Amino acid sequence: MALGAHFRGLILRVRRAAARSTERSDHWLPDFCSASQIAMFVLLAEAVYLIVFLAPTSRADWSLSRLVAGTSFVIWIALISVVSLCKLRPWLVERDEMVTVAGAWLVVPVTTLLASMTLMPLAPSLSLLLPEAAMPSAHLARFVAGNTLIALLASSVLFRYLYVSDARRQNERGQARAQVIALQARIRPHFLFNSMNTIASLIPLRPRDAERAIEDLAELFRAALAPGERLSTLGAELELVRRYLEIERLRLGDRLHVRWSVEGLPLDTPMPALLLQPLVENAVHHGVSALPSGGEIEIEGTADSACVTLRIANPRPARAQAVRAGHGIALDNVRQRLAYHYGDAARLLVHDAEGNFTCEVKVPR
Amino acid sequence: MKVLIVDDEPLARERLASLLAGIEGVELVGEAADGVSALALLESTNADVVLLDIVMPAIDGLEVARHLATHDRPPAVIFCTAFGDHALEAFEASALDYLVKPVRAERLQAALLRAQRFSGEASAELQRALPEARRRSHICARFRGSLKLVPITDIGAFVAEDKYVVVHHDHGELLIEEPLKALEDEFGEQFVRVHRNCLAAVERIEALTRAPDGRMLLRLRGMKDPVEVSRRNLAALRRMVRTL
Repeated sequence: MALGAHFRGLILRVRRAAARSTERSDHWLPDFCSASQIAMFVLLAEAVYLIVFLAPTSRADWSLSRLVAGTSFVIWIALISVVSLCKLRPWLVERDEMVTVAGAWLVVPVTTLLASMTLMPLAPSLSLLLPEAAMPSAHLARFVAGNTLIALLASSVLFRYLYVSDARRQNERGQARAQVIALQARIRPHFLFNSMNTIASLIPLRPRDAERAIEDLAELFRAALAPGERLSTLGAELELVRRYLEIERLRLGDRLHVRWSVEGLPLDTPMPALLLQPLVENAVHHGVSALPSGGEIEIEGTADSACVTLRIANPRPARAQAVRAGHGIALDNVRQRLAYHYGDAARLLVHDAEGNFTCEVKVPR
Repeated sequence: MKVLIVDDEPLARERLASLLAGIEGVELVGEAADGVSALALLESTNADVVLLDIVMPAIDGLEVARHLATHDRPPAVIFCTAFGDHALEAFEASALDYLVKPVRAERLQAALLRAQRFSGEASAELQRALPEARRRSHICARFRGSLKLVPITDIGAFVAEDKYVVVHHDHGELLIEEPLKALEDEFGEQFVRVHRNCLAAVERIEALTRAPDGRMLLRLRGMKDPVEVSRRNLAALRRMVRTL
């Protein structure tokens, strides 16, 4: 639980842009203070009223005046209810689950009961709501009880729906998180074993290089095996990419060239851990190492006041020879994680021209 | 025993070379960094065993092995791979062998011994197992004593003539000894049978025309002369051209 809350906190820090959200923003009880929730609530109440209005009973008539009077009565109740829910929510969400459910559920019926009783003294003017001109008290009692029971039923359906749909959303979110973590751990196993092989060859030949390769490899796997979805910084991410490329340069020798132009980037920009490395690994695996004479990977970064953009470009074999499958996995992984952390604020663009592959990651600062 | 090392990574080659140096009766006859030069070296060195990396640029290890399988006396192949490869699982418990990287000296020695013992069976195994494994990306032919590799995408048509099949490609013609039927089975998606003696590249079909003498001719991009379409294949070809 504590870990979950901690985790949520981290994510929220990334979503600085959407700073309105609070710790309670993902409670099943929605924030009724927002315009869209109020509109939804009023429309729902009106829908319930229309069902009652249209229901075939002996005394019902479909007059416009009755519709207008009823609608204003219902909207009045709906507005009072929704404002009450808005005000009560901070208190309700702190309580036990049972209290929260009961409280939220009873707001609408209680409001309806009170509103209906308030109307009682105005009985003469009720003729529009109740078609009978003469208003025996039995009718008035039924008016109040009926309204309250209808409100109770409608409220049950509404909150049951909110509760269930939130459970489903939680479930989906949990699955997405699990997937994120599983995908994150996926540094290609080929890479690990090829690196081990490289190091085995280096030990007798160039022990210093072997040492450095082991340090670099340790750094990469520390990042890859870290539990959960961590936030890192742009600077640390670029450092990780450098270490990765150091190992690949030992392996591929002269075939791998890298051109960096990342000067002046805001290195403290928060960024999900291991976001860039899979893209650079793609550039090596599907690009440079698939070409007999190798090639150059360009890593270019730019920043403005709102965003940091990183572009990774690499040559690659022509389509007909591109036999290495799995290009999409790393890209999908990065795309999912960007969506998870930033929503629509970040994006990954891919440009696959004949012989050249470019991807561009844009994240908010 | 003459051994050839094929791997695109210099350090991986160096490691295998140093391991081989410690094994008695083994002579390292060459190293190749890619599939094309591997095939050329195999021609010139007559190696008994080839240590073949799977993941290589352009022509990978499996395809090199496929080309080897067509040789009269192919060398024994020992695949090397960094991580379990589906293609290799087929070879488990067969005369073919494979090593995982980093390769252990003892394991390498055992594989070499095995290769020597089963050399006859291994080549038969290779022929049997590999055609299923994967379509080639190149056609390999001998041309004036040297080996030539033509990418499948450069080929316009295969035309059978007497004992040979003529490969018409962007830079000329080559003769190969594979039957047209085998080529059709392997490249059925990229090449269509247009005549008893001809397979044409689907991608390159330009026009279907009638010659003055009534024969149907198919023009292919990059080829000077059109190829003849037999009446038997015409209907199927028309149907296919319409969906292109």
